[in-house]
Amino acid sequence: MSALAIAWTLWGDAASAESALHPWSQAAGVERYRIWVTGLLVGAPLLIERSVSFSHRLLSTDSSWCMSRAASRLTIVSSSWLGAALAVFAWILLIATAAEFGAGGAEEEPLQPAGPALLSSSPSDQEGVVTFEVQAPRESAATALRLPVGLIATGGPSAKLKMRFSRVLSGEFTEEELLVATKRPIQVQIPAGEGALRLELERLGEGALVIVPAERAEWWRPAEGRLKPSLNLALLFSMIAITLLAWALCLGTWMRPAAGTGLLLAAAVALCFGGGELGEWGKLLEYVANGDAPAAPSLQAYGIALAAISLGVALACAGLNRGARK
Amino acid sequence: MTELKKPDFAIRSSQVAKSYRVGLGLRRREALRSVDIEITRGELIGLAGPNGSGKSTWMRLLAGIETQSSGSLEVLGGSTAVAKIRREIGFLPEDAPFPPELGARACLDLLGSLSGLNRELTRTRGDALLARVGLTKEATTSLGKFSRGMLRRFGLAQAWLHSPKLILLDEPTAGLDAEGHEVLRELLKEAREEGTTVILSSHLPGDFGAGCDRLAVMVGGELVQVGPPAELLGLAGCWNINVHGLEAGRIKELEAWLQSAGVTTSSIQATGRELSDLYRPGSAASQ
Repeated sequence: MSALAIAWTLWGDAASAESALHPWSQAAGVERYRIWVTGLLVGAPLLIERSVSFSHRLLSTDSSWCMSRAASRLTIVSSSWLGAALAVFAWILLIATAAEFGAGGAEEEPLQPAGPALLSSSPSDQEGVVTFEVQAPRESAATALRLPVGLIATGGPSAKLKMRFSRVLSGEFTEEELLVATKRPIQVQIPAGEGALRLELERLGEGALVIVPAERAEWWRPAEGRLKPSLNLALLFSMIAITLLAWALCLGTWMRPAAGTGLLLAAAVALCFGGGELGEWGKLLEYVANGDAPAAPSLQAYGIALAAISLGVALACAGLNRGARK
Repeated sequence: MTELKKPDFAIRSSQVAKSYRVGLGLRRREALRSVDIEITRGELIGLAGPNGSGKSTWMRLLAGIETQSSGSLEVLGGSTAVAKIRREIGFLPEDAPFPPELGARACLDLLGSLSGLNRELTRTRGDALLARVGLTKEATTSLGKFSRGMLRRFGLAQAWLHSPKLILLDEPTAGLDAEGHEVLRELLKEAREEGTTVILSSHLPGDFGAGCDRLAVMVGGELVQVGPPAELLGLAGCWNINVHGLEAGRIKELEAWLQSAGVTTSSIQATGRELSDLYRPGSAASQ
């Protein structure tokens, strides 16, 4: 299982090594990504299985020496959760440290999201040119615009684009030629000055058809430190992991270990591809692979995690009480 | 006018029943049908019964691990759902599945903290009890490496760790060697002197004879007999004498003499030394 996970990770790295973004930090990002994915794929199933089995033992074999003690079931469950959470923190910090050492000394500062960008297309007289009117970013720290792209390989596997990003009033601009060969977002630096912006995309020569879903465009700003990608990721994954552990303890008291582990791993995979404050693991890892820093968890995410942990622990206590009455 | 003093009960069990749901159809299986008994504080009660009679289930109810399906159960004047009551109960389970990855001392530390003892007191009492049961050298050995007998000794130590007022011992002699039996006898004697209530289940009549105040016999989830062990086991006037140095030929003369004195003999057989005699260094060679 672990060997398969590592093989998949290495294959994933090879597949994602091509990049249209800032190549230097991406190389470091790919290294971080490789270590994170390996660490998570090896550690997460193990921790979940151990936690489910542990709480199942509390209900069955360990009940004789444990449940006759003065400590309440809530104390037993919450201290078990705390112990498991500390183990998770240690494991994730180990991964984060390995990821930073593995990435080496990246000279370029990683970026992190700075909110959605509002683009509206405007008609253009020139053939092969698309023009967007762009509202100035709310965050003054934003330095780049990223546009997601899709490719339809009609005239070839890739396309060449010229991007011109200019200030409408002052006329200052940045210009870049890009070879779009993957589905990774394309990035353009914001020109100096203030006020509304205009983005022109010009197709150069023959090639694949490029689709630009402008509603998913985002502003990006430099992260506050070089360690930011791993630190934010460590915080996010710790939060997700300790929430899952509370539910692992809960499921162990209500069902057999194999069923509980299977159910929780399925939920973890669903969270990986799903949305929500604690979801989109895939997107988090994509940030790292691109050499970017995911945003720090929001207050809402903390709130959801706290509620989910409390509910998991409460249901674990209920499971133990149910076991006593059964 | 004199006022009658109310007896101070350690356990009051009235029509206590316990049933489990088993199988896919959640069929009801009765483990205890109706247990009625009142046990005063400081009593030492022996609990006997065939396998599956409900002895362990009743002990688990008394220890607060499970709750009864019906009936009323009062332990040390309250319910075992209350932490303060559970703090006063020491329990040696039948199978003793203590965490195999922990050392004996570390496990006692954990159990002491779960019982509300501070670390210093746990360590002091834990070390003293480990010495008492002969496990000082194995204090740091993981419990997974313990033999069954060593686990029973450790089980005795953890049951006495927090100086409980009620001690429940589920087959404590199973797997114990002769020295272990001696340790148990001493611990029971001390418990009796301190006024601790003890319930001891066993399959061996010898475990009940010496110290038990009453013997309770459980069959099919009910207490069918409760009374003095000597009476229930027919010990009155029944003696087992070990004679050393008598030639085989003269045993017939002894039997004839006993019969002439009007005594019935049911078992006359050759025996040897006690096994515990052989455990003492040099004892076999010297005789």
